[in-house]
Amino acid sequence: MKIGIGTPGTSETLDGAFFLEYARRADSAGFTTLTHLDRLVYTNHDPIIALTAAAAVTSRIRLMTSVLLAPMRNAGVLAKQAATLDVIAGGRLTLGMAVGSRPDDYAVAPSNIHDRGRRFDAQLAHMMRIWAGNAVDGAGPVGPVPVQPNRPEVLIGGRVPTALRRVASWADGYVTGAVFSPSTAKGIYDQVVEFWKEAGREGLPRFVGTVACAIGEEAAIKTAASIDHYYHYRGTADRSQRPASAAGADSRNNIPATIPAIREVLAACEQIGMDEVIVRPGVPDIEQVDMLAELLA
Amino acid sequence: MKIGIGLPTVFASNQGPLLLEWARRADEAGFSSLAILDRVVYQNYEPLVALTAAAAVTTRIRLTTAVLLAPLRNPGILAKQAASLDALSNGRLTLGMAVGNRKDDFLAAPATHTDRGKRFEASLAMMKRIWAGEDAGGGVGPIGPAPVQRGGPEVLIGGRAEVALRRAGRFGDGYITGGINDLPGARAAYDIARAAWDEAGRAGAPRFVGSLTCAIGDEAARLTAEATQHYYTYQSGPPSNNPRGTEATSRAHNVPSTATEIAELIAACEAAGLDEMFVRPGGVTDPAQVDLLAKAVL
Repeated sequence: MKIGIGTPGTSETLDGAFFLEYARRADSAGFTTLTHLDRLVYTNHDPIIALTAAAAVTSRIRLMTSVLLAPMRNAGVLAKQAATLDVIAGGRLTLGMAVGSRPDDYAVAPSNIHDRGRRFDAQLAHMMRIWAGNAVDGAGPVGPVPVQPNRPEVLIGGRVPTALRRVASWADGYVTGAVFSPSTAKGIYDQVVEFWKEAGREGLPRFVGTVACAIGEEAAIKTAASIDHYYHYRGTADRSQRPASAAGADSRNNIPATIPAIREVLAACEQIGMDEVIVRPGVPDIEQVDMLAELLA
Repeated sequence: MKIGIGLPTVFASNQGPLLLEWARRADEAGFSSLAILDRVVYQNYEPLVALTAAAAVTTRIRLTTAVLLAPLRNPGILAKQAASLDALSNGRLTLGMAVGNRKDDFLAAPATHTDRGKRFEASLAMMKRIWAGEDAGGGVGPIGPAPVQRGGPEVLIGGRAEVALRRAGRFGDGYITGGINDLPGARAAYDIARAAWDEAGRAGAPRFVGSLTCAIGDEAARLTAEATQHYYTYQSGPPSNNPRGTEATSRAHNVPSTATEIAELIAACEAAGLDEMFVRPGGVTDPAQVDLLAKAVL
């Protein structure tokens, strides 16, 4: 099982120098992938921009959006940005995408939240045509040509059956957010596999998940706090808006803080068939990269 | 007058490292800013992504979109991407923007073509609210990250219609023009922007920024002429009213290629009141051209 690392994207705004150094250290430590989250109404950097900066100062590590909320963006522009990032990264982009659910993000994009699933399907078709070098609506082609054969790797996230079926229709695999319960994650992945087989696809979808963790008790507490803040943060006065994930709200007691404790969680992830796990600290501390790299030994 | 340099119109898919090398050399040579164009239906790199890559390997040079077609993008996303680039580059972004014209770009984006001017104006107001950390609209916000430049990246606005020029004076920090083949025309356009600036009671004057298509050497000039011709005449899908067609032809046939010719044109630009101009060797991808141009114009 591969082990990647996430940026502490849920923490307060990171300055440019910190971000580049984080990416360099993750690259030289041997993590397989660097991930960055997406959300509009929050302090985070845009994932396409953040990962492009990382691509320019690294040579080996893959770069993954985890996950990018596609329906808020113009699909043709997104396809062009992803292709450009793939080119600059020499073919290292993995585009993790989902529809998202927060009304505040959609209100400000601005983009219609109600038909986001249907639009996401149309967007995927639009982007696939662009990456294949074909015209869309008589316009095109839209360059540049991605470096990866055909297109960047695409993973899709989500929980409802429509989202899981989408993996089989369009993607290379399934990406899940924070894995607080391996058995729940496994249950969802099993449904993805079922749809995958029904669609007549060969092999198995890639299975990627994230484990929130940090080395040291204080870092773990701060990581838990940053996750809680992230999930509970509403950029609107609309109190009816629910946190996107109930799991996120219960993170406080579930952040492993030592190498053995994290190894235990990773073993559980491997047990349920995960191909890659992203360890993600929620503190803007550069030393976390080196300390977490012990997991690779 | 400051002198910046443009990136080539198109780097091929295997030329990502050349973009980084081009940016490093431009930074070291002392150019004021690095410019890149925007278009969806073309082989060019997307400008915000390309400038972010350049930002990561440079420390001094500014980064200018010349120009980004704003109405092709949802403004909330554009505001966040621009703020992210400004934050990661430590405040070096200049966002040159215009509405664009080609219908194929709008089809591929996709975005509506007919209301692009109206949407652009609303977008500008919204983006400035986001960059200032204010309510983005409807009680939603704030949206991070905070740009390093207070109140957001520098904004230059381009275009030729009077409404666009007045928009530059009312909402921009300056006016950006493509070609300066017609210097009196460019100056007249700037004066309209400046009049709108004064009418709005703004202090000082709008910045005046332009580009000169040029390259050092006969072969580089020939490649640049070809690239310019191809870029301005290329379109797919439904035909657009492209006012640049004839100008492109004249520009493509008149690419200055010696230090003397280029120096004369730069002097003329300075005399016309430009604050900054970009030398743009559109068809050359060999980064050695950066050093040749630096030697000729800096």
